[in-house]
Amino acid sequence: MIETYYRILKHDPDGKLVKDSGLIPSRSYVIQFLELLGAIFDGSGNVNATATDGTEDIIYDTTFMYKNGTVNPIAGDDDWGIVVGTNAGTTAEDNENYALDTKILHSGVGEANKLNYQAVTMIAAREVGLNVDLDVARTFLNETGSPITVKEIGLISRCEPPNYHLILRDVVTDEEVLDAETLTVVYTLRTTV
Amino acid sequence: MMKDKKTHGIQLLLRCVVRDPDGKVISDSGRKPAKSFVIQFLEFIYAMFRGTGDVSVTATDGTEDLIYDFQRTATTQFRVDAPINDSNYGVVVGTGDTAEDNTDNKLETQLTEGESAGNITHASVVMVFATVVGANVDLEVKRAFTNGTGSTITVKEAGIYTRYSHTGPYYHCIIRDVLPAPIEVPDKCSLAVIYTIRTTV
Repeated sequence: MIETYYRILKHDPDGKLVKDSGLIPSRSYVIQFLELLGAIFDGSGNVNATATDGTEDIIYDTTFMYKNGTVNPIAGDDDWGIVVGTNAGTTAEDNENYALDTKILHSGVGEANKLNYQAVTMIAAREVGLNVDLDVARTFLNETGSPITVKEIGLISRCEPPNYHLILRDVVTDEEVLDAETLTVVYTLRTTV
Repeated sequence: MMKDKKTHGIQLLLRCVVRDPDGKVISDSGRKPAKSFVIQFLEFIYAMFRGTGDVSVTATDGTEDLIYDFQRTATTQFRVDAPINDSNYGVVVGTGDTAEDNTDNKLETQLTEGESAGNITHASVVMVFATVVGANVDLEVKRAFTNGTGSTITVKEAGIYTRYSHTGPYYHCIIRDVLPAPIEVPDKCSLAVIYTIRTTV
């Protein structure tokens, strides 16, 4: 199996670690992930799946491999990669989730109720003890002057031209991010024979 | 047999069904938890997540060969839908029973295509695409094998190889499992190997 974990870290404005959740099992691959994997395994044509806007859009494009399944946006881009939200509608995880309930948007100038999205970073698959781990991480800065409470996290992939598809969504314990603090979310995909 | 205690992440299940020449089931293992995605799987996922640059990893012949080429057509990469009589990729089986390792790059002793000793006849790979099945989402990859050797074959390992074909072709092992118990496939009988990749919220 592929064990999947998330880890949430918070740092104060001086960079001091104020919280580390440790590795928490992530339960919530949603259907779009296996739709993408199946399309790649089969390779016979473009495949649509439900995108984050609720429409059926291409998740697998046969023309160029780089178009498919990327999760590494640059700073300031809240359309894809790791995203966080407030789950205002208290939506439970479901196999067919295609979006966060209430995504927190990006702002680089401290707009209310927004976070400053940093670039997604990854650590390539490598042996770690008895496991093989692949890490995907992103940091969010609260520059609003007020606390923001994160209640859901997820991972959104991109397929050019672009379409966005949710592949992971987890409802998490409330994480209050104080003004000037940073929140970092790390997803770890792990295999162990 | 190891019991799968975890329900998070992506589960991998393996079922083996042996049938006589008339199609009657001789044995059915049922779906059992399989353990063994090997490192090449996450190396590909990393390459896809990143989406830039080419990635070479250990192929089934032990050389470092392309598994991901970002500028080439997607249809030439990470395919498992092997046709009939092709034992280079797709679901594969073998007779080795050395314990699985994270860095396995092939089956220990693969049964290749044919009807002589060390062979088995490969049907085409069949997939059932991701769909909600009860509380789960399942993606199935399966293949039938027929023993035409004249002797009983004892299958002890199974796996999945992918194909990269823009150049090469190159083949990479992404799953290898030693079976919980050896499976005897008498002459003229068939073995169906069914991998289920499952997610559950």
